[in-house]
Amino acid sequence: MTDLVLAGLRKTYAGTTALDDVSLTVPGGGFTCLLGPSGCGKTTLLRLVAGLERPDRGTIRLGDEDLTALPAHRRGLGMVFQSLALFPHMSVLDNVAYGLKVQGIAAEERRARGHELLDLVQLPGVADRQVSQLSGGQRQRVAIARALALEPRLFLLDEPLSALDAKLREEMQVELRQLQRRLGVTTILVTHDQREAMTMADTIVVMEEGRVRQAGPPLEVYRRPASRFVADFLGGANLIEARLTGPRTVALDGTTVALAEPADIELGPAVLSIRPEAIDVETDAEVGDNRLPARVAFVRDLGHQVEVMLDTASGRITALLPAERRGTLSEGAAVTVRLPPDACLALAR
Amino acid sequence: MSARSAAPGYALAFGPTLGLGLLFLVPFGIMGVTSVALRNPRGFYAPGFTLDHYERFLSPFFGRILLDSVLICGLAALISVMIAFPTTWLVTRLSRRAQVVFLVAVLAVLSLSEVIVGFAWSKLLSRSEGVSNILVMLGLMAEPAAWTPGFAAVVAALSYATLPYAALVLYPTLSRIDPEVTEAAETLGASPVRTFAEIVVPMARAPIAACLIMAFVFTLGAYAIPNLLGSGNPVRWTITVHITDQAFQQSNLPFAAAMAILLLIVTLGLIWVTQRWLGGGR
Repeated sequence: MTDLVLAGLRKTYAGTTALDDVSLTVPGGGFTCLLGPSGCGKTTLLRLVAGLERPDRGTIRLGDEDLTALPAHRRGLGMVFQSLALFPHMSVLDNVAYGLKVQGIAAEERRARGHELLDLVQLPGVADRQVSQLSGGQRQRVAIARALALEPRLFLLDEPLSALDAKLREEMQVELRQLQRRLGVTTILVTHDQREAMTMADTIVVMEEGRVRQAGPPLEVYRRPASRFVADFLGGANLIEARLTGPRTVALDGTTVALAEPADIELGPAVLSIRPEAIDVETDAEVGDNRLPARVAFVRDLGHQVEVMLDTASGRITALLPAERRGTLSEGAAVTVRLPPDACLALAR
Repeated sequence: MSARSAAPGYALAFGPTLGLGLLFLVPFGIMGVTSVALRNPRGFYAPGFTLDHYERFLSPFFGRILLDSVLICGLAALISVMIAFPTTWLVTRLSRRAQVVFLVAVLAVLSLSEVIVGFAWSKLLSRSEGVSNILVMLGLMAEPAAWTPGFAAVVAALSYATLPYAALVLYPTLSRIDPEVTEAAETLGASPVRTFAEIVVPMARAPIAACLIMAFVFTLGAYAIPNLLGSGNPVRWTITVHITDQAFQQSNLPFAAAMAILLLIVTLGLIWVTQRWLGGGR
């Protein structure tokens, strides 16, 4: 499969920089999620790939082909828009088969292909309905079928699931991922929902302020965030103000924390990052290395897990514990927080 | 609850209904009565009942005038919508600021009265001062020509006068078309021109129909432009001018009233056809 290579992309709108020197390789056949808060440039990046916007600088290449100057209608892509953008004056079938019509494919073949596509997105029996007669989830599927009709080289999705309710959204995430695997089409999805990105992506690209902050497989980005921003945005890690005193030692207020792997930042002020679910809370342990005295401030029962908010000398820390630990924790109790070395990361402040 | 809220509803509608009745139905009734009254060539008209005036209209001469009027006004409506639609569409895709400039310009044209537009076009198309002189200067024509009065002059000026109305009728709908819809067509391989023809125009069927009807009715009611630019050849006057001519110059109010009523019937018929043809769909 051919990779999509973005090099040095820059885009400004009336003085504000939307994208600032973005270089990225999107692996062919994979599912890539552009993840970031609103205004980070992820949608702009997708629109540049689609050809709906022109970059001020930089190139977009698909294998050997330079797409940079090619208008959207010559790029051979399929795109699902945030508003879905179905054609309201056409039937479901005509919507799905519109790309085929543009290609000059005969009406009968269009009809047959259209039905195949509707089967592919598990939406049989609605071909002759009007778009306005469909539910939100059904429209979603029509938009996906329409974008896949021409067997696109690139499948682009701009927050397509954001309008659906939570349960349907999660179902669609799984379904979309399975569909993408089956077709093997190179896919880029824009989202601000880290759960969605974790569910679907082979590669997560975390963006902030028009730049790519980190790109990699979901678990790697999750476990080894490269910066404070990524650690916070992806999974809401605890970020504790600290000092890096040695390659593998971090000093907190009154405690020293050992790291399993050496930090690749300079000695001095740093942030200690640890995931809530990696923290252990002990009720009868001595304070020592990697252990902090704390007081339980609030306990939130999530059913399958217990979220415990702990006040320490270095600020508030959130821990996620198995549900069976619920009984051992009461608000106001003095406890010890253990930070396992292999879960601790020192990041630049 | 519903009974209580329904009563003030009727009460609220009473005022406007009364106003409409007094200002529209009563004059219309008077016109209906007048159209069957007996003509008094030396004075006004005498009460009575005759269908002579309607019969007189069903002559080849007045039939031709009606047909010409429909042709002139239909053509003017079509031209103004055909210019206004793509222009307004392109403007709604521009920035907010550019759209405001466009709307202000449209309103500025709107502030010109029909009389001023008529005189401007009569100068523009005249032999002595018109655009043909520029074409002569550029060597494109041998000598200046008078393009007014005439059929084309009336159509051109009426199209121009309707243009801002057409743009204002189309603007709200067109500005609400989601840009992602046309972008979707483009990512599916449709060129911008094809997207316009296959997506934008069909999506705007209903407002196009409304706009055509509005432009047609507006031009049918125009008096100054056909009078100024169609004069010299009574056949090139639209029926509105003939109605005025009958009422004031010929002192034949009953015939003018009969013509006005027939015009109304024909207009309603044409609106109905346009509605069925364009506005229906779904």
